[in-house]
Amino acid sequence: MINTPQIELDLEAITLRFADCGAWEERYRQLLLLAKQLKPMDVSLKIEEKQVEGCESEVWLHLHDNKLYVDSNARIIKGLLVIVLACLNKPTKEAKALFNHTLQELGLAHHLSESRNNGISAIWREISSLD
Amino acid sequence: MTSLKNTRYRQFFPSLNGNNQQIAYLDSAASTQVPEQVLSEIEQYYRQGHANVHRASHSFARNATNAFELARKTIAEFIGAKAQNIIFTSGTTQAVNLLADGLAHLVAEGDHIWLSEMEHHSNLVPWQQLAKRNNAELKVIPVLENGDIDLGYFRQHISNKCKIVAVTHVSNSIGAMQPIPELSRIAHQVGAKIVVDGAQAVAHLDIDVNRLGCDYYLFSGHKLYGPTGIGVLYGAEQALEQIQPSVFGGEMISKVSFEQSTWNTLPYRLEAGTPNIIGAIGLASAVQFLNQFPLKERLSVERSLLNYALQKLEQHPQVELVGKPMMRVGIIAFNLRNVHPQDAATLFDQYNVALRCGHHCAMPLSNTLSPQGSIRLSLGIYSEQSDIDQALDAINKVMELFDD
Repeated sequence: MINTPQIELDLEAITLRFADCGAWEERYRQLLLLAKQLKPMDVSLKIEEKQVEGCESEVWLHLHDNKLYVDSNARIIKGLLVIVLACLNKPTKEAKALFNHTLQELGLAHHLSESRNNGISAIWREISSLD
Repeated sequence: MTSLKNTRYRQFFPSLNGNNQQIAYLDSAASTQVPEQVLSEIEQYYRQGHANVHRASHSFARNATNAFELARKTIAEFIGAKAQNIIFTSGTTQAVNLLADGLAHLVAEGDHIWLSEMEHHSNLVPWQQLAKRNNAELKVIPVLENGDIDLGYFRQHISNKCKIVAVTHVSNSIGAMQPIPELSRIAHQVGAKIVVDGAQAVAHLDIDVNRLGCDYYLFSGHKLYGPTGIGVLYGAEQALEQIQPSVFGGEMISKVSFEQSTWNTLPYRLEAGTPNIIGAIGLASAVQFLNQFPLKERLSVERSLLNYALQKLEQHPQVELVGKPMMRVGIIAFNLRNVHPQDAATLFDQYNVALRCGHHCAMPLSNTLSPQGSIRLSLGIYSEQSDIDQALDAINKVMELFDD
């Protein structure tokens, strides 16, 4: 299992934040607030070699001592990264399924699913390759 | 400000009526919507009997050949050219590749190919690869801070080592219009050929290839209210003769034996295989659609709308324009303060505003002006003030969301 030192929230706490959301704007607001929960990644790691290819925005990914660090300069992606990390207390394959299920549950799947060109599938490809 | 309501043109576009009326389509620089007239022309052609062109003598074939060659004439006249100077391609990209291969014999070791810093990758990579193959050098006209090219630098540094100048008429990422007549004069003074990528210009300007003075002018049908998969390579008389065929097959030959082949006359020798007949007919129909409106009025309506959008965006405290060219056509690039363009694009989509974000297939320019990319708003004949207002409204809502 991969450790995720950048977040303190677990999936339950995240889901709770979305519980009272009605309109899609509120869901996005929560997602953007979630982005703020991601502890910053060491700037020295935000280099090209750590960048995930296939994302329109910059996404960095670094694994060290079984600890995974991620960051992005796009806030929606950053919010999604928090959810990704919260799903990683499971083997990667299960984690990915859990992530997709969570997006459904939070009412974000329609807008932010993998098929959209937002780099989420590239991030999962990268995480899977860490196994 | 008088209202710029312009339902006059939009009514002809079925995709923007009916169920899609809530969508503000501001991505015409990527591809344009197709008017009813073009759709029915395409259907009618297939319904009335389709055949291959320039081959059989039966009536379907005669009709197809007539329609295809009439399309060539219609499209030629639209840019002030003659039918025999028009080569059909699959689009601008293929036209550039056809030139980069066909003009390779003009470029010797140590020669120069000049481009501008704002070229779309399709008018950059084929020349870069040609330069590599022929041990030639790729030279770049830099872009000034406002997004216009540094004409002084070009005048100063071009030499008779230059064999080809390849420039865009209008930048696909920031809408900057290039002084093509002047660039043509400079290129010809050193004996170079000048290739102009007209993909972003042809739907928005009154194009006369003779006035531009260029050797080659290229554009795509799908940015001119026509179908995808059809494009045009115009070549001036002498210039066209210099293109050596690089795609071989049927139609482009006159005699073939196992030992050798001789080529057909122009334009056919550059159109190997069965051409995109329906594409050519569809594009000609799109041109006829445009021709029914007085040109000056059509262009001035669009210019007013562009100015309206520009003024509103310039005044917006959270909008940062990317590039402020002297002459702007059809396109505005901008960023929202502290918002990544990809985030903005995701949210714009939520507000039914179709815009493009990213590097717009022009990474060198993007790296100079706005490394993280930008948001691009672009207009078509059907664009209305309400589309711009919807985009402005969406900008305010995005900023509100990001304020927390």
